Amino acid sequence: MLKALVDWTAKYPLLLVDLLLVVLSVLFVPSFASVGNLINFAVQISALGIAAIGLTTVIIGGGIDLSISSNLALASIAGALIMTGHGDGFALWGILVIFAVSLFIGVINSFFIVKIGMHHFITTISMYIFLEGVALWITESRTVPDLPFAFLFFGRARLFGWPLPVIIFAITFTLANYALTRTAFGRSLYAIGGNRRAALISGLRVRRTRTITYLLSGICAAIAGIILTGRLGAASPIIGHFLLLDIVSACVLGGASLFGGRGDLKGTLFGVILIGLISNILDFLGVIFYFTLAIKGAILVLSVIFDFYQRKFSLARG
Amino acid sequence: MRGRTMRIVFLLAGFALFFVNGLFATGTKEAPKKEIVVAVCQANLESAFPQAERIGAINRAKELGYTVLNLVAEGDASKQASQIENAISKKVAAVVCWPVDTKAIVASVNACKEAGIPYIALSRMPADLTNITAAAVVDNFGAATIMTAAINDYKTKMGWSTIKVIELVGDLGDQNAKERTQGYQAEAKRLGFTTVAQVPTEWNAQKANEGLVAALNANPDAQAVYIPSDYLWPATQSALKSVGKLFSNKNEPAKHIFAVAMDGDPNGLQALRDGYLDINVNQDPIMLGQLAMDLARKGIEKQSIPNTMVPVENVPITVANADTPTFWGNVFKK
Repeated sequence: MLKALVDWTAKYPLLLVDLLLVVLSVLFVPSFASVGNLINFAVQISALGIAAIGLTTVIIGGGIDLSISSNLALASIAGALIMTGHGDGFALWGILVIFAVSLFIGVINSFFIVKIGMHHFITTISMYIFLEGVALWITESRTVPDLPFAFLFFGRARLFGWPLPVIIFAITFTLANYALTRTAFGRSLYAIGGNRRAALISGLRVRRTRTITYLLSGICAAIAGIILTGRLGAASPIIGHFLLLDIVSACVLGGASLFGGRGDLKGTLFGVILIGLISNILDFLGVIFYFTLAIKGAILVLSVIFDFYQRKFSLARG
Repeated sequence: MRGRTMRIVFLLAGFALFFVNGLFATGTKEAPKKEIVVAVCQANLESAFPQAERIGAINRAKELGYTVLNLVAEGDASKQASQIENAISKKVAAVVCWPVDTKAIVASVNACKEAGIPYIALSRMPADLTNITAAAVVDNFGAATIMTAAINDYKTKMGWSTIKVIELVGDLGDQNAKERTQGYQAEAKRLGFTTVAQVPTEWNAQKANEGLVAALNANPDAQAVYIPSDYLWPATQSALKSVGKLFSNKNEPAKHIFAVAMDGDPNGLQALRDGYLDINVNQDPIMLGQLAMDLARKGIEKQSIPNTMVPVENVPITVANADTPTFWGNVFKK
């Protein structure tokens, strides 16, 4: 039993960090361990988690999508512009537009990266800047308010007592995890990420698989955008501006290698939880703003160091 | 199977720890009865104005025996929504808030109302005022009147029939910016100014600088500049310098461009002393923070608040009174 525990935490070292933070918070942070805060926390990490799922998929395949946060913002703006000031009947159109825009951006990314062969980093960082610029331009940097109640439902409703964003996150995670761990697509993705040339020689459909990852990233951006915009009740052109670092951090902390071929969604989940915990705890403690970024960074650095040595120790043990 | 068993045990242990400790740990169901916590939520602390508001609110809270939970959103509306949710979970007694986005904050205002927590707007009001308890505000129209009156006096003194003014405009998504430009426009029309250019700045120093340089190049005969916040003064000064039009009213009055601003921050007061600015308007953010905390107290004690909008007083500042020790720009030390 102990060996199983050790093996499991060896595979997901971040789990130990998360548990440690939770235990310390439960003991020392007043009001942290309440049902209300647990539910709030789950809602707050839902959008981040869904976006991180999309990015993890791309990273495992050996790519990266730094435009995911701007994709989320522009798609939300596009959908909101359709819906603003109109009734519930427009909510479906808005959602369709959000998915269409996000998928289109995914198509553009995959065209330049997979078809043309441009480097994924420079392509997606350029897209990040371009998409944010477009969002700011079409909205003149204003938020788009007055969204239909039927749309806000996705960010605020509860089903069987559970917030809908959390349910959506759980479903997305389950489906994506199944795809990565139980399907040929998932096996191909790891092979391609590990060694693209070998995968190509083996007859795997490298281009198709990589294209799918960028489309999945777009879909996840759309879902995250719907949740975030539904929660806020307004679409902001910079809604994704501050998310990118958190999304990438969650993926990398969770064990996804930026060289490809390594990582899984459980690790990403623990990374998302860590990022969310740090913000939640610092808010509860009322830590002076000037220190919060430094403290957040320090915890992330310590987590990376812990993760590094934990993996090294596991490899040494064989 | 063993791995799965471990996972289930882990999960159950975690929940048990969470809920059992949640029931018995101090202040988990609600804040201790004697401690009153007020959340002061701010969009950012990038300039002296919000920093001074924070100090005012915290000092007043100390006098009232309250604890302040200061949450800064760093310009992220989504983060601010999460922070207010966390504050509600913590069962704070009141929320004092300067929102990142006046529309996005409405959901949080409604959440406060639902939780029975008074929401006090600090200097920037939500787009929907239905559920706010009160607001500590600045009187932008009054300030615009003071500034345009000064421009008009200068016009009269120079014997001009009109005066060519470049107007800087803040972010029109912000109610304060809207009122400052509306106030200027109404008075400019009444007093016969010629607005040769409007520079949209979105409260961004770089945009202000670039826009003003372009406006000055396009209108080299501009005679005055209307600056809706001292936050934009450094950008304005830089723009004037870069086109060779930064002259003090003390040393080179003939070439000086008449400049008016509001807020009364330390930069603005120094600019008055140096002769680059001609008039400023003291809108005391320390007093705003104190006022917001007083309104929070009324909300907590369920006292009636007859006027929801409570403004702080505008005080004109010239070089003659710029050293008044009670002006926040002289009191506030970064």
